[in-house]
Amino acid sequence: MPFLSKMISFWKNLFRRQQVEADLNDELQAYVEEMAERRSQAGVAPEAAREAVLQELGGIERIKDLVRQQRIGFGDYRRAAVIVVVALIAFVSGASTAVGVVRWHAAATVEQSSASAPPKTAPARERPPVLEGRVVDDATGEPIPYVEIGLHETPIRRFTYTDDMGHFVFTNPPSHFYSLESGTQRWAITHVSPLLSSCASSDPDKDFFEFQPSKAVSVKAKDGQPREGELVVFHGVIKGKPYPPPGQEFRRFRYSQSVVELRAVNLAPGKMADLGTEFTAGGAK
Amino acid sequence: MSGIRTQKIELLRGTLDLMILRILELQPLHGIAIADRIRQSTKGAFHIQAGSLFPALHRLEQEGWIAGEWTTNEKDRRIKSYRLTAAGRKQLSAEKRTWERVVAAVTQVLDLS
Repeated sequence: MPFLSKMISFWKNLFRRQQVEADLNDELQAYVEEMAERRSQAGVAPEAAREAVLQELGGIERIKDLVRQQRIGFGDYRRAAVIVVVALIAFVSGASTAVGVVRWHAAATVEQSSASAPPKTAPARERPPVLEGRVVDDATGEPIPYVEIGLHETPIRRFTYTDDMGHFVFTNPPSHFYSLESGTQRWAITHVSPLLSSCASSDPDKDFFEFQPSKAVSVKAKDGQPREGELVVFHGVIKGKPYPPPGQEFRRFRYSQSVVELRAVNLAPGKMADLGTEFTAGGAK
Repeated sequence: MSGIRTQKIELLRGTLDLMILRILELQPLHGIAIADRIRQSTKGAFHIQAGSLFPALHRLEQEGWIAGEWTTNEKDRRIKSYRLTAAGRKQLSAEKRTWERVVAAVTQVLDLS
């Protein structure tokens, strides 16, 4: 059963990390030794053979890193407090949060190669819109690699992983509201960076979108547990019209509390910390 | 990160996955033996490097399509061999069908006169 085995794998990656690492090491060492043996059978001195194999690999650690990138839940989970620096909500319609580590590219960026070519023979190609961000450790500010990040656009979720530098990119994000979330409960922390508290559009004549400074609140999650977080109010101008419409307020709860390992036990398919549905703002102070 | 590069990687990855699943359909094997079989059966066309092989194996294992099992060889060395799971068998036939469709479609274009 793929789901079950995924969960087992996830569980192992999460809580049996040492074992998984030791197994990976054994597997790769066995590979190196067998390849070296083959070379020494062909007449190469054993030490030189081993050296040659390692050189061909680019080092065992490099292969380990490549494997780790494939394994969900292999990030450094012991760092409990994490900020997922993401734009919790953004617009595709041109709103640009060119602030800090989260950047929102408008669709009209011309690729360099196209721009240098004569326009008549090579029409400028538009770069697809991307949403990118970085996941960093709340306590240390260190980037967190290999964290699964989900882009939630009801009812679809897309996923990607952060790279070595904790960086992630989604191309062609949806053209309306969506939210970003960490793909595992373990990392289900969406604390919008304070950098975002006053973000401006790259094109001030067009749309803008502001994240008002937020206030700390405590809300009750569906599981009955309290969550500490912040309530954020968004407002802006979209296509010349104020958003949200007059008399309305668009609120979003975001929280910065790390999710403990126990949550992984209750991990259910598609069940993630979508703050829009999992939390009610009724408990907001 | 150019789109073209990503696409190329994706294509190679899919092909490698398909080959691994097919090789393991025949018998459980460990990493090197899988690479050997791919090299032999493609008459050397595909020389799978460790940097592609092991990430692919772990990805397929994570998907639940193959399962790793530890054994010891004659030299008393721990060896991880992989076998195809029931889910992997299903995945293999799905990927085979996709592959056949791709080949048939591309062939049609190439055969245009």
